[in-house]
Amino acid sequence: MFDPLGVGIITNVMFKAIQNVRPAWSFIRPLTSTAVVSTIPKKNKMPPRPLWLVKEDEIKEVFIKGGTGAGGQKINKTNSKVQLTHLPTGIVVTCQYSRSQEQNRKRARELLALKLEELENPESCRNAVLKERAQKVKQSKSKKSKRKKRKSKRRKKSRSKKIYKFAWHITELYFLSSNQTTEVR
Amino acid sequence: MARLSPRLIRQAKSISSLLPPLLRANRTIEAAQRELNWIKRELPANEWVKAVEARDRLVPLQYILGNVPFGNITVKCKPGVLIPRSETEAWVIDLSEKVKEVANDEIGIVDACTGTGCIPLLLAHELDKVGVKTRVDAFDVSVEAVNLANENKDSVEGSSGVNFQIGDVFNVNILEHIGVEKVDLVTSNPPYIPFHDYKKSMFEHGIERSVKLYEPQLALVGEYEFYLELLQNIVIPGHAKAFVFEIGYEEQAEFVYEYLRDYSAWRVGIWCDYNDNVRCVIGWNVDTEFVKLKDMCDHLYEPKV
Repeated sequence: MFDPLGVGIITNVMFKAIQNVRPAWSFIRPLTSTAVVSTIPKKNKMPPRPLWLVKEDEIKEVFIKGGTGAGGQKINKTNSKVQLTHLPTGIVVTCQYSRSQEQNRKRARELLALKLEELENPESCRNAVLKERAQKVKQSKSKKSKRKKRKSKRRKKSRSKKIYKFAWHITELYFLSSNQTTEVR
Repeated sequence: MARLSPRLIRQAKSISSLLPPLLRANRTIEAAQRELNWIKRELPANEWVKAVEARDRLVPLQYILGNVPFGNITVKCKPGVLIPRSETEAWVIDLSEKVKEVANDEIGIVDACTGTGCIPLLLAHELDKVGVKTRVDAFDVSVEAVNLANENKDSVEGSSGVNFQIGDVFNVNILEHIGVEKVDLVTSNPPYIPFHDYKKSMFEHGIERSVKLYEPQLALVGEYEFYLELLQNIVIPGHAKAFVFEIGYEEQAEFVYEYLRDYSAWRVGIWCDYNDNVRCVIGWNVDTEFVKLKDMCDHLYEPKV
């Protein structure tokens, strides 16, 4: 049969579009649950690093540079590892975050201080507060992404509605034109 | 060195495509990751690929990043000038602690074969903190090194008393040439790898490939002659009170000890690094306040009977 506009395809699209159309009453948006809005504390309002817990006479500091044997001008090492042992508790902390030994020493002391604080009061220590904050940030992130997904889905549906309208328009045209041709004949 | 296994390379690639080129220099994924983190932290993103490609050719990381931390200061590095080593960093920190105890208000230091200028700059920086006025005359035979040292001087706090010049240790009148007024302490990290060891691989007490490929031979190859010239041209004529020279072999310390046997006021000791290798020969005049440097030594030579 003569089919200049491919009605078969259009009807297919139409069918899909019809499938996606919501019932008329669905424009009423479901009420969002008014869950407890947990505020994320500011990053600069965390408890301070408890550096006072680290006493220099209670720790043993060792510098570990990679490789044994020859050194000096013969070999060019890049890493610098600092290992701290807290003598009263036996906690061992290592740090090789930076290339600079001085920075690693500082950072190792911070790490040790956090561990000691955690040992002292596990609930209100900086580490625990940081952990809690990280959890909240993660939650709010997942919430945001869910919201985004929902939005994009809705947009897709509205687009298919438009296609549906467009399809109707074309079929109308087609019928009109076919009527015209019969009249001419 | 053993070939990198394809499995290791695949494993690295699954973490990041920038990681496999770093394996050649680092050998393990953990070390390569650490290096990649440093590259990412210190270079802009458009230079990362170039950096890891250079590292694949064994270019020293310090030349790629352009600097190296040295104690509390950061020293610029450029091809053509030896990269400061962590062993040097360790003894300079130790020495600065000792000198802080010794120096009252003013100290004159001469640093030979200065390279990037790391030794005098860190000493001046540390001594400036405690209010000791330092005047350092440092020299190097290489023009590139002196230019770089002058660049470094501008970025280090408390280095106004440091003076870099072109000069040769083998010059008998070097002290006059650089115009030194007062010498208390002489420091140096001269070339100390004998040529027969310079040619060998790392496994036969030779040197690392990246050092041989990219660092200047001028700053590496030497044996006893530098210690002889340092003593003959600077320590003895300058009436220095103490000296600290970096060494690579115990024989070099013995050489210094033998030379100073004729001078009854001088004592000599050895400083060892964290790997228990001999790394410094330290000498002091017993009639001066620098006797304190004795505490720094891990081994003392018997004084002349």
